[in-house]
Amino acid sequence: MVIESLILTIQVSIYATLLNIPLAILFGLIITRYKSKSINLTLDVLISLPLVLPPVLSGYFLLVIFSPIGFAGAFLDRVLGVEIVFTKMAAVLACSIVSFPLMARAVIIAFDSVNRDLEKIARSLGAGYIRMFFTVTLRESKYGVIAGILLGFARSLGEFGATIIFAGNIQGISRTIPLAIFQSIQTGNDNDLSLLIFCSVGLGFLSVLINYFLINKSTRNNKG
Amino acid sequence: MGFVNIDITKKYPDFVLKCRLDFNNKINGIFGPSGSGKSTILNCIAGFVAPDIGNIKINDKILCKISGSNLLHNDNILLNPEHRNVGYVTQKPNLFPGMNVDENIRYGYKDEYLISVEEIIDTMNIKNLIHRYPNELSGGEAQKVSIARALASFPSVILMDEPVSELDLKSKLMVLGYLKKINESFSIPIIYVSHDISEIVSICDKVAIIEYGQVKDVKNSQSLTYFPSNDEEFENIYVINESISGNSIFINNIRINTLHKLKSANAVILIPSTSIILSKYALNHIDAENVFLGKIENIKLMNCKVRVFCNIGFDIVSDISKNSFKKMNLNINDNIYVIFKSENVKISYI
Repeated sequence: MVIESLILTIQVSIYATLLNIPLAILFGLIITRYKSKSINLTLDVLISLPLVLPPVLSGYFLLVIFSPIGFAGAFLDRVLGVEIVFTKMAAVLACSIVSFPLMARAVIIAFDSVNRDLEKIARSLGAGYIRMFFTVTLRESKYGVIAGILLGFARSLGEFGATIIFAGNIQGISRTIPLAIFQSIQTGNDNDLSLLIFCSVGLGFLSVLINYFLINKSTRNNKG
Repeated sequence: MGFVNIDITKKYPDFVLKCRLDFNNKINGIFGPSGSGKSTILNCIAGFVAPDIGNIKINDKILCKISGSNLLHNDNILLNPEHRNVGYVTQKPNLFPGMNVDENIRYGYKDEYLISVEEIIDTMNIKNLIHRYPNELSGGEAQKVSIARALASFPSVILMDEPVSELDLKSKLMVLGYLKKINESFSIPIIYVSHDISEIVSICDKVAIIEYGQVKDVKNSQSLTYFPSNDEEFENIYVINESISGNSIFINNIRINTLHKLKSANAVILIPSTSIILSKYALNHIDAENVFLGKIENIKLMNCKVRVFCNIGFDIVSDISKNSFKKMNLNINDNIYVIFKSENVKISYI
């Protein structure tokens, strides 16, 4: 059970992170580069909301939206014949919603720290938006962006509330390490519990440590 | 018609820029105090700011033509910065930190250009720097590379926004020298913005004077005089091309004493308006080395002071307090002694 949960947790966290990266970059670019205050405020609130809501509530919202009678769930069921609730995809979506604010905030800070004059000069030298983004914006903010991605990944590793509501606690499908810990405590399976705690702390510690070094490097780069 | 033609209006909540200017294919200056709208003009030409109304053309290529408030109007043209072919050099060198000098220069370079990167590197004398990274360069070297980078995109015009204001004198003179050289060697016009009149006089052919978002005057830089319309202190400017003898210079054959020996025959002399003392009577045993008898040609009342325009064989302007003006009872055509210390004669080399 431990190995299965460990693999599932890493899988779900990677998928959730991959799902969040383009959205965090898009939101980061709009908030830092677009000058409309009302749009920026709306996006800022939307990004921050999952951070302040109880994860259980985020899970409940997802359940309402993606259940077979919810508007997104009914649509997916009718058009693609896909059911989301209580599947691995549900676990991925739950992790993605809860970890998104952390990743997006870090990406916003990283994009905001890029010297806009460098972007202006790149444009004047003939670079379009895409070339400017990859050769200047992303290049100059890479450590901050990677730190944000890692922070989001680390948050996904520990996600519990939204997952148990939206994806259930099904072995091999949605029982990630936090849910497996919950299961072991309930059933009194101390052997598995120690291993699961070790895996959870180890993964979290590694993520936070790498994140710390990247943020340090990003700060040093900005000062230099 | 000039090489670059602009006729634009840009409104901000607290500031309106309205200007019509033609620039030739030499080094054109835009001079004015901070906040007068100089950089906004450059940003409009480069495409980073869209004017509310107006048009910008470079050698008959339309960069921007906005005839109404609706930017999406069919007749409106607003090219993106990357399609304008305009080089842009900022106050700070702003080299791309993760790229070495060679990569920085080649960023905007295309093989079909008539100038080769090697030619630019040779002209700017930066061959020894090409493998270095921006953090390994001095301020002057970095600015030279930034100019080379702008040049390598083979622009129709290079815009320079106070490019030497953060450099020490030696680096400043070196960079200004290169600007003249690239204008002559590659025939690329330069629009040079600065609030330092000595820089403008040193390198520009023609100067537009901007105040409060309006073009106040367009002059040949050699005959440039600038009197701010507010109480701001300003400097009397004289371009010296010869006539140097020891610690003295000659303006219209009038000998001016300076504190230091002049290092070069090409210099700009600056005398601050507030450092000039006026006296109706001859003063004996005075420590100032420059004392001239002249005539008052004009008097202008400002908000807090009085601006007195004198001629002592050349024109010179002094700002005095309203109180002194009342006490001295000065009138136009009065004889007047104009006095200033040699240490107040500032020298800037061209």
